[in-house]
Amino acid sequence: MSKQQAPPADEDTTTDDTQHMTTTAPDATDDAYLEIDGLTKVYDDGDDSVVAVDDMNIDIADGEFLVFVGPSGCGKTTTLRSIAGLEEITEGQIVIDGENVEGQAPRERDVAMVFQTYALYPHMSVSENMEYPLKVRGMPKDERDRRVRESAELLEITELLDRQPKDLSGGQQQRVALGRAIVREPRVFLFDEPLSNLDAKLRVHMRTELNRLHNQIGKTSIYVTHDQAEAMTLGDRIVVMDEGEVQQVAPPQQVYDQPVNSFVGGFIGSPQMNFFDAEVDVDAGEIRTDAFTLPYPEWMHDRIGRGGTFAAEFGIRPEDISVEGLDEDATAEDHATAEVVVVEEMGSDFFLTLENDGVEYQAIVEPNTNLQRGDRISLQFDLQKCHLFDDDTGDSLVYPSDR
Amino acid sequence: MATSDKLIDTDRWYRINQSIGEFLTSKYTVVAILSTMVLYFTFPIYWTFISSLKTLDGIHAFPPSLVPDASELVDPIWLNYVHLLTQRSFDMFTFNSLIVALVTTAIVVTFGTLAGYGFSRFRFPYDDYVFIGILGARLLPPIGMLVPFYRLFGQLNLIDTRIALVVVYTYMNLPLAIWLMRNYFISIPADLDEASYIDGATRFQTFKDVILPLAKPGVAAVAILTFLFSWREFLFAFALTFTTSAKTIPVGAMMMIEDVVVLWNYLAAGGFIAMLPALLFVVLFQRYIVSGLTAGAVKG
Amino acid sequence: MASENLLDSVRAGFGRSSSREDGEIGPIREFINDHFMFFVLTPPLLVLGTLVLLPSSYLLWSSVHEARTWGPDVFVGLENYIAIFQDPMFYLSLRHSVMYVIGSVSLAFVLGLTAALAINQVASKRIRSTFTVLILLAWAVPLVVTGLIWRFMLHSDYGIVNALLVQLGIVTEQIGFVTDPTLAFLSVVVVDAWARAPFATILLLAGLQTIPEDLYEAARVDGANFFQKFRDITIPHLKPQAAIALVIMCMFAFRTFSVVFALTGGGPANSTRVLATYIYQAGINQGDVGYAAALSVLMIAMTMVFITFYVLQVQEDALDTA
Repeated sequence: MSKQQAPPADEDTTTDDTQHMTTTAPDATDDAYLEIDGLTKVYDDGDDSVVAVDDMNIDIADGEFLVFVGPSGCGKTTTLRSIAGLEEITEGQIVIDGENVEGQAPRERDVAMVFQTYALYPHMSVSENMEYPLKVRGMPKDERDRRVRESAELLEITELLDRQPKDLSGGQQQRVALGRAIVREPRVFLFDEPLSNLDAKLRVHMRTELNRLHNQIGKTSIYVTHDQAEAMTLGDRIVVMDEGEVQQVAPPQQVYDQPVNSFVGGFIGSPQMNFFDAEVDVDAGEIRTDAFTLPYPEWMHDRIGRGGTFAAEFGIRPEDISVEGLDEDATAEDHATAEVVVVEEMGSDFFLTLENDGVEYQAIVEPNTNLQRGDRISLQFDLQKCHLFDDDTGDSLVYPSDR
Repeated sequence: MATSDKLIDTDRWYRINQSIGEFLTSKYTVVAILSTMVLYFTFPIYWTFISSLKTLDGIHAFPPSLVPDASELVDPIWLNYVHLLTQRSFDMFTFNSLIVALVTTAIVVTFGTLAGYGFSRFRFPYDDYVFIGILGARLLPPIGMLVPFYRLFGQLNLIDTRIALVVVYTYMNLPLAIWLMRNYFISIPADLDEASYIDGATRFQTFKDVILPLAKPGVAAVAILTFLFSWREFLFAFALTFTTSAKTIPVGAMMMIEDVVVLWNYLAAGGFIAMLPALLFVVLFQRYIVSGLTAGAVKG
Repeated sequence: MASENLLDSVRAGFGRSSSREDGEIGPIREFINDHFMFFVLTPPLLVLGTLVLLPSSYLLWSSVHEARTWGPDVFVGLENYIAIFQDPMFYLSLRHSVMYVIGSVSLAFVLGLTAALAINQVASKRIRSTFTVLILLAWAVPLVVTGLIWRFMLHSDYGIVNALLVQLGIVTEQIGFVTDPTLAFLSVVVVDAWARAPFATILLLAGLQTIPEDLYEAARVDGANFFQKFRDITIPHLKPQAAIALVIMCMFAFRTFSVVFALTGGGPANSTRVLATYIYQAGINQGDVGYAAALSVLMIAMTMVFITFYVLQVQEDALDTA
């Protein structure tokens, strides 16, 4: 998906991509397959208690691929483990396919899970690993064999069936772990950072594989990751979490284009969104930061509707800043000048670290070999794609959360 | 000037130190030290074996020859052993030793594995205190418990039975077994338990199918150590048994010192029977014994 | 082809009904499953609890009674303890025990450390483990046999040790290692160290092997000489392991019975009587159960000092892993 061609930031408009995704993921509230109602998990070890998940409410549609993303300790893994039945929840309920699973052992919930460490049984061969969930359910041997064979074919690991896990590469172990989940034909697939132990290249490859597999199988899947690239590429919808609380639930492009608060804006996107302390002067029609002054766009005013002068946090993504030329060419009013501090040549783009009046920020610009450290350049900001967040709460002033 | 003198001085010191270090760590020094050590630690074992093959005249020869010639040895060479087994009840002692060690090992391994798994995977109120209690129990000196055990068995009419020995050896070895097994289970990732639960297994199936097979090396270490400790135990065996129906090999060996004239060749043979299985275990299972001893002493 | 079948069945969810039902495992297995912790922990803890608490309380009970092996007990309060504190034999045994612990443990520690350092210098893993096995053989010998065989080797008439000393011209007359009071005590200490040193070797070797090789290389780059490396890297890293090894060895040496009993039987003239042999003599040989019980309680109390120290050393580490 091309970030450059993101549409004017209008609440009801989505990209082609997101529209496509919404079709594969029917509106969740219509027929929720898995409901998380008021899920709260408190870890209490006597002296102090930690709220790992705080009053989470999410409905997941049948066949949807939902990705939980957030920094470590945000409660995403706890949520996943609660759904699996590995954690007892403190409050709330989880409903799978119309059935409240409270108090049920993992065994009774009929969900499959792929672990970060793969958790393959080291003393069993690949086929025994894949067979184990069927065996403990008392399935006849020939049926077990058939399912293992078919799943192995689907994952292209047929030639590995007789090997031991320790003889497999990370990527192969990953596939076997997937296979062990697939043979089960579970109601829900749970993924706990399954790609984070793979090296970068393999990770991208397996990401694509997972996408393909999900398209083929079309089962409800819940995926936990701290990697926003995985979240963006895999999810029908993304749940951004921080400190036990859900920040935003939306399709990936919407999360990217219309973050509901500065945490989401900063967490999704790499390099990170630039933030500036700003003062918005509505009467003068200006957004003033320490580094530059920009015109206050009409569309923002329409959404915010506030008058007078107010403080806010101004956010803009590095790719929405472009180089217009050297300083002396600066003309238009939405221009700012800055000094180039670092140039990182990435091939397809240049990452620039810029400085203006003691404020540093980043821009991603088209390759331009003329740029050098110490140059003063003039910049253009894409005012259709910038953000304003509340100074205190961090909530977006332009894309209010519907929660 | 002064500083450069000092530099040269340190440099010389460094070189002297270095050469002493090189000497101490050189191949020849290390081999010399180790050979002396090995000689010191193994000679008594060798001497036990050699003496167990000698005639009484051979034993009494002074100075004794390090490598005895045929005239000093009994004929046939295993005669002393035959004598012990047929005339001195060593057949019964061996049987008793084996039964007691094997039954103790079975009990200790079973309970140690169960409790070790429990402690490694579950929490319950005051579990830390119970566990510290177990840690402490394993360090109580057995001699301190001799008197009450002796009286209790007396009242239960269990004096001079193999059962009494099994009970005492279970008491002596179970805490270590729980400790070792818990540590071993902790080294097995809990992810595997969880994967198994999710795969649909019950807790018992998870324990039996997934975790226990992976804990085999730990079980082996516990079994070997328990067997060895039971096999070689002397104090309780000596105090609690009176007749051939329960006496073990170490007791049998000790009894020979109480003869009016000590027959050292028989005593050596008895001693060698007592140490032989232990020696074999060390040679065959060194890995398990070393890991068990170090983990038992130090590792948390 | 096959994959397509599977996909169809996965999409259709044909395994649904059957695997849901297989979640049912029957009431008995369900009960065991729900109380699995109870089932794995209760039997061992009951057995161990009984085996520890029953004799312990009986020990305490006996220690405040006038009790013979057979016959009724008469409550005497702390009389046994008072008698012990007035008993010169108790002080003699205690002094012997303490000297014995200090002598045997330090000798075993030095032997063990030398062996461990030497083994650690060997590059080949196979040769290293061969040496370890050869030294560990001595550990395998039952302690009573250790005592007996050294008693034979130290024999004044036909012991091999005397033979070597005479032949090498170190002594002119054979020495009564086990019959002379002073020598007997030294002999017991040396023999005990022989049996104890392999254990020290194993623990210290394990400690040495946890020291990362990088550190020595870094020190070499920094220009540290052999002794500086030993002082600044080996010793500090070995310290925790060495401390625990020492505590354990002290505990084991303090309770020693078999070696002494087999080598000298406590004699000659009580010169090798230690607490353990005194308890045995009082409780088993003389049948003075109450007195022996009080002695045992005192001995356990003294051991508790070591146990507490050890538990404090190990428990933090131990419980953290839980």
